[in-house]
Amino acid sequence: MSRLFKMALGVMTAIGGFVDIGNLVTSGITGARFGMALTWAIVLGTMGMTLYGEMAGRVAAVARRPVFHIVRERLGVRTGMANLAAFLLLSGLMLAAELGGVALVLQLVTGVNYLVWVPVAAAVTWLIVWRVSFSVMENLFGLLGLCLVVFVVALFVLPTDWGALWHGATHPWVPPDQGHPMYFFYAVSLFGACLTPFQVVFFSSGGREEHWTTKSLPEMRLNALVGFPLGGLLSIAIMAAAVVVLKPAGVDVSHLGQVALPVAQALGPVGLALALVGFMAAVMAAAAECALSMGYAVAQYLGWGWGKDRLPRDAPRFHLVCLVAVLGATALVLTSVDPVTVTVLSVVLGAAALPLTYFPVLVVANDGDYMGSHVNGRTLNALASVFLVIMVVTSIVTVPLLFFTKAGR
Amino acid sequence: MKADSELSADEMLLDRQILDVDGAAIGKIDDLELTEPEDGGAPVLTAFLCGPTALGPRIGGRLGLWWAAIGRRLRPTDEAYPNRIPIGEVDCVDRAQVRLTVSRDALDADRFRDWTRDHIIGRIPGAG
Amino acid sequence: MVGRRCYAVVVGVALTVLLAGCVGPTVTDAGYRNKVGDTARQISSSIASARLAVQLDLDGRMAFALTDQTVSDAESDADSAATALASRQPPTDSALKLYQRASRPIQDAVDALRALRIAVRRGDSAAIRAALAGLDAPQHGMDDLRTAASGG
Repeated sequence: MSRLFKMALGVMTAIGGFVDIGNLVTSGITGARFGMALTWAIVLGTMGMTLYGEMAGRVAAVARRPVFHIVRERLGVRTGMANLAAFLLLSGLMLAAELGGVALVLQLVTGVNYLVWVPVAAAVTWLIVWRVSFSVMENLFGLLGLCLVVFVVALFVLPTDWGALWHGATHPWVPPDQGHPMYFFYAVSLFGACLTPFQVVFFSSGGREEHWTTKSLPEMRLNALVGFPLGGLLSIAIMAAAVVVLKPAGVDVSHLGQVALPVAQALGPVGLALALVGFMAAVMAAAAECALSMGYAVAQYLGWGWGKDRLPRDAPRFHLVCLVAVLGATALVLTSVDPVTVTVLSVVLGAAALPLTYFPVLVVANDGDYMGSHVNGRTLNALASVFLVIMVVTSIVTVPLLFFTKAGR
Repeated sequence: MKADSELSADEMLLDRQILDVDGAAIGKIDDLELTEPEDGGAPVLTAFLCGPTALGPRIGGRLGLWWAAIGRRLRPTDEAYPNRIPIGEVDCVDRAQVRLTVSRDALDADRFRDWTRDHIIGRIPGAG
Repeated sequence: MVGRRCYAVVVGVALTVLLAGCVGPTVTDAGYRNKVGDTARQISSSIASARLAVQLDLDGRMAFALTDQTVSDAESDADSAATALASRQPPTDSALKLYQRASRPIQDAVDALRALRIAVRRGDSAAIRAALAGLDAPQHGMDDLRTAASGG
């Protein structure tokens, strides 16, 4: 019975942990602008994350090492360093976006300007990294993040034309009033929001924190194969809510609060409160995970001790990296750069670096020495390679699209 | 020292995680020290080198120089030679990791770690 | 050294492309019309957003903080869009005519949103309803402007 409970918990935390500020913002923006036409980007991104997440989790469970640990060995010092540098830059930007997101939610709740909340958000994030136990962090935020299910409920309460939604999703043509570059720019942003680099590092390092072994494979697979897709479904629900309420009203999303308006219409203040709790939990969790991932990556590349299951004084350099990461990201947000812009930029730049992030995962999952009989099968490799090609194509078109559309204006 | 009979440095040794006798992470094998014996003959592996001064040259370029410089800065003397872990202290080597016979306290590889702990992390409340 | 020069060329090209993207659009007549159309679209969206939030608030479905936030954001977005357009030099005579035609409706829209924000913050129901109704004309104004800018 407790095993069932543990599995359920794992799935739930994967759902709540998948959605972060990137998903919230991009789903809202694209729903209001393109209707359901970009649903395919979320589906594709979720499939990619599920595939590669399962691989990373398997590596953590079977090889008993998180992916980044092995990257340096298998890909060489220089490639590993390039990977690490890119990862730190992207995740730093993403961390700034998440911290900005937490501050924005606090502003929505209290009415006090978000800049005041940024140091608070940073302090709480760092405290979670510093002392909160791993399982408490996962369970608490995962469950609270499930409040985002209120978006699904809202869809059933609103006068939703399910047929029209389905039609929009299955006919992904570019709407007449939007250009092709804008369409593909936002497709890239949705794809990138599902495949954020820090998620893989966190999922595999987290697997080590929870001491996964070969016996944990079913549990891990359930987390990845059920949790991530359900998280993707939540993103689609947020997009659909924007389609039903915001698009007909002619509202273009440029602020986080607007994403919650459909829930207010459907379920009133109570629903709104749940939506905001869900926002807060998802974004706060993502901020902590992002900061931890940066610590994990550096410590695993350089061979330092790491982990939340030990006292901070026993892994001082790991905690130093996390602290510096939070401080750096906070400084960036405090320049009062628009958090929504930072969010879109971070997921898009993440998309530009997708092959660099995910290719090592594929390499390691195919390593017979580490994986033994759990090495990737041929079908899995074929599927993963297809996705790798998609990622390469994405990364090539991203930067031109970024310049051409001026970051989605 | 127990080990597989023949190892290729790149495949088996370089960049492997080093664990001490208690299983604590020390660092990675950043470089190898090979000594030429006096009577001629093939060079012999005498120690593993660990730390920023060993890793810097392998990263190469300006970043590598910078990284090595940080390592030198953290030493009481200005000696450029990296931390060495003599082969005698190695217990076993496999494809995944290197296990030592000694505890980390017996080695001198922890200066950065100790400095960080004493000057920064240890000073924050709740460090344990 | 070849690497260095390659790098410099790439950076130079990238900067040129970037700058061209920043400066280019309003130098031509078509570019200016696009800019006016975009501004009208943005302001139209701000009006719609404020209207939605306030309507939901009057129906008792909102929390005050979110209403206030949405309306304030709408006002400041519209204001920024108006200022950005005003700061661009109309390149041709027809562009100037378009700007003269646009400036009044745009200002009306910003004023209407401001009045709404003030009414919302004061909590004055009658004023809120009045301000809400006051959004209708500017909304139509923006629609007309979009049509005019797209060559109507």
